[in-house]
Amino acid sequence: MQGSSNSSFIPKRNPEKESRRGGSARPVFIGTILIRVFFFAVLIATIITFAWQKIQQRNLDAEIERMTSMTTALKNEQSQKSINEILNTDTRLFQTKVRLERAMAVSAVFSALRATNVDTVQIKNLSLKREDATNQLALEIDMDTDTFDSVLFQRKILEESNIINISGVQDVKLERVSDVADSRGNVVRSTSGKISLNFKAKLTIAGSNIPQIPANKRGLVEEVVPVTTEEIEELPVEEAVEVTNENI
Amino acid sequence: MTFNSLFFQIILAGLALALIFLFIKPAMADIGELQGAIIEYQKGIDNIEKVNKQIDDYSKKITDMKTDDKNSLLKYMPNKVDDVGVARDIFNIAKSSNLEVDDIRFDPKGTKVDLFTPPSMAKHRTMPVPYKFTIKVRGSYNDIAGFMQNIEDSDYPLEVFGLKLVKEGDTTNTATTNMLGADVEIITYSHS
Repeated sequence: MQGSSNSSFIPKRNPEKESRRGGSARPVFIGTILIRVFFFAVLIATIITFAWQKIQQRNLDAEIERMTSMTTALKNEQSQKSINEILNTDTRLFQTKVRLERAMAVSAVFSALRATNVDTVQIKNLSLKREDATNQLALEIDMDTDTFDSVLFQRKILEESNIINISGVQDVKLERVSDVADSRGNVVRSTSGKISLNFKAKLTIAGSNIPQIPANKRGLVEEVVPVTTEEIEELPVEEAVEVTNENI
Repeated sequence: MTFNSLFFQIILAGLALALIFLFIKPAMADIGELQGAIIEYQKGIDNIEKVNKQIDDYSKKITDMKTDDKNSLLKYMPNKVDDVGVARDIFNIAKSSNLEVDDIRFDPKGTKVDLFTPPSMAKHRTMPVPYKFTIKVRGSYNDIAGFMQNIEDSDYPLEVFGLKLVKEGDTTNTATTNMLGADVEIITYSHS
């Protein structure tokens, strides 16, 4: 029956080809795997980056819209009215504070002069000028007396005063005429030989030495309370974000 | 060409690199800018919210101010000075101080006074506007001193910026009842 296998109509396979087909696996290079992984990773990263960019853009648009609506609300009439009222009140309080801090009791000058005026010295005229920038009063007083000792004594008293600061005694002039009044009050020239000494005293008084005292606190013996700005509650606008129409 | 061929691998690598340099890298830079812009806008929004809160707080403080205090403030620093009203007030104060009033004037052209200005102040703030009144009176030393006191006690600022005191009559002591003549410069203020 040896010939029966050779006469079959089913063709026989080549044994060499058989061994080649069902034999050992094809080699896959590591480089190929790496490149494919790399490519797909980049593809995924591209998709993620594209999506992330869109999300960020949407977030930015939302923030812009929110800011625009808040800015528009701040510019509306009601808000502007509130802002103007606040700025107005703050300025008014600030102006009041500035003037109160520089409040001086000019009436105290009269008391101080009366306290320091020597009996033998007469004040002929007085001029007073307020120097607001330096917060002091500048006085120039023309005085009249009959002895040099009175001039020196008056100067000494003024120098010792806590309130008054004397710059100096100037223009001391001596006159040999002494005028007296007759019974009807008319001035009559006398020939008694009395002398009259005229001199000028220049004084300054610091505003801090003559603070203004409110009427309801005057007359307190133990404590003199000057008007202070602590009684005025000022809006601390300078500590906050500055609200002006230019920033809106 | 098979998918495992070297040529195909080269194409894949080239495409990946092209995606990185032509899309991913610029997109990341753009995302960085977007995030920076978002942070800036958020800061701006925080500032606006802060301002809104301050506006609400200050508005409440003003609303809560007592009416008497508001009126006192408006009287002390009015929007405008009523020159006739102030002149009348000064005249009445002088008369109530037993002084003879010879003249009273208001400077209509505005007053240039060398006022103290704080070295630094917020830019929305302005200094008060001064107005000058001049009054000539006659009376005794004590009466003029009383007039000064009454001027200081007024409800709005009447500040003596100048005074000239001259003795009228004979040369006896000023502390007596001799008549003195006084020229007084008084300054008051308005808010604007």
